[in-house]
Amino acid sequence: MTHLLDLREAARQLRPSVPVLPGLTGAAIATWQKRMVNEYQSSHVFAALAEQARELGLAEATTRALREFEAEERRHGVLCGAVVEALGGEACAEVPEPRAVPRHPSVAPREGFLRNVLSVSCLSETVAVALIGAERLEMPAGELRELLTGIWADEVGHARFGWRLLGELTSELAAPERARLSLYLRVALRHLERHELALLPLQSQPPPEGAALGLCSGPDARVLFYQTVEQAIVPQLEALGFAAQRAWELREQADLHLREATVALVESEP
Amino acid sequence: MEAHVLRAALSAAIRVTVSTTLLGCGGATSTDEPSPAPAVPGKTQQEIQDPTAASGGAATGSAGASEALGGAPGQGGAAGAAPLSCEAELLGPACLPVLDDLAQHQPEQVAATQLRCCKTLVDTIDALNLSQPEAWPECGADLDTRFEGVRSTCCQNLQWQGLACTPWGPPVPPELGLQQLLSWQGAA
Repeated sequence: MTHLLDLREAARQLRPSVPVLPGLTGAAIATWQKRMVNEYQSSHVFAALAEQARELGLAEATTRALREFEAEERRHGVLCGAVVEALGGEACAEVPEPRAVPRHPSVAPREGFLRNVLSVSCLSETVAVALIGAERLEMPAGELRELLTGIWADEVGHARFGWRLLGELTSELAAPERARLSLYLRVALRHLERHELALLPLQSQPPPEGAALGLCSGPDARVLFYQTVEQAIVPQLEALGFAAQRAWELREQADLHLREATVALVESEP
Repeated sequence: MEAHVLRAALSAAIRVTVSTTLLGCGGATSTDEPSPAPAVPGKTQQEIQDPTAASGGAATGSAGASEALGGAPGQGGAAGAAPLSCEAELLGPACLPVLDDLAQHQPEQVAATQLRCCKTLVDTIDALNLSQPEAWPECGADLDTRFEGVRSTCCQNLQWQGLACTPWGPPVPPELGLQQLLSWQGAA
């Protein structure tokens, strides 16, 4: 089931000045259009987290921050669409209906919420900080870099929020809850790895001038991804008392579980 | 990617894990270049080849080449025959020899059947990326390898433009059922 995501009107108001590189324009349009879709769709993830935080009775500031992140992801979608329009493309695409964010009914609501915070903010958004940060550093000064810097700054906020919240809530966890979350990390880390590798294609090796349009090297980005997990994410999770190193080493144990979940998802679709 | 860029980006990621910035200050971050992190050996290019790929296994289903060639989806696996590789399930067994031939001969102009198989391959990669990223590792390495062999020929004839890196926006978190959790707890 898909629907049309049409951001043309809003995106056209925000078109940045972009370098003219005719040989790379097609790839740049496709890349920024995919980013537009990914960013806009992820607003649903933060919307669900905000609702879960509200139901848990967490601080109003927490729910409000998550609502702001939801709006920021939508805005990022428009900004990526603005780049598409600036390059001569159209900021619209067929997108799948967003999947429901799990509530993890097999554990208590607070633990289920922490699973989602771990996956979304502490893992995905921390990797985004590294990847977008590298792309930004490679991009020459100009309006496109300013746009990317704005997105990067928001992603920094999303990741910091997750780590701070995790630190606060973790201190209240009993040992069995901490142990179960450590086990969940096997699935979350493997899911992260699969997601990132799928969107960091090895065949993406644009020429050096592609950096001006945000076209990065897939193989290089994969190196950065693994270093971010192993040197940023896992050590900090260990510092918070989670068995993250062991979860990373044993992440392939989650393959069967993720495969079954994928098959079930496909079979449930009309 | 130059080494200093990698170090700076990694340093930024490390810093967000230990920051004590107040809630709601997401946009109010410094954009100064982060200080370099200690150099730690990373993975080599060879090591980062998709380690999640599994040979064979359950397929997720997709518009296969048998469909592209006029047959029904999933056609080609006779009842009782050995299970198809997931690559054959996704592309359709009829397209595999067509793509093998394309990779070997690299013609400038391709026939209609070859073009349909090119499109099936590209559409399959796009579909997995767009809607089923979890299914990608099933065939990721196989599809990557196959695509590399025909990329120039297929893209030239399809006038297709590839994607660069697009892993932005957190995906929906995975679930972990009670049964699996208990199984791991028991083993721990």
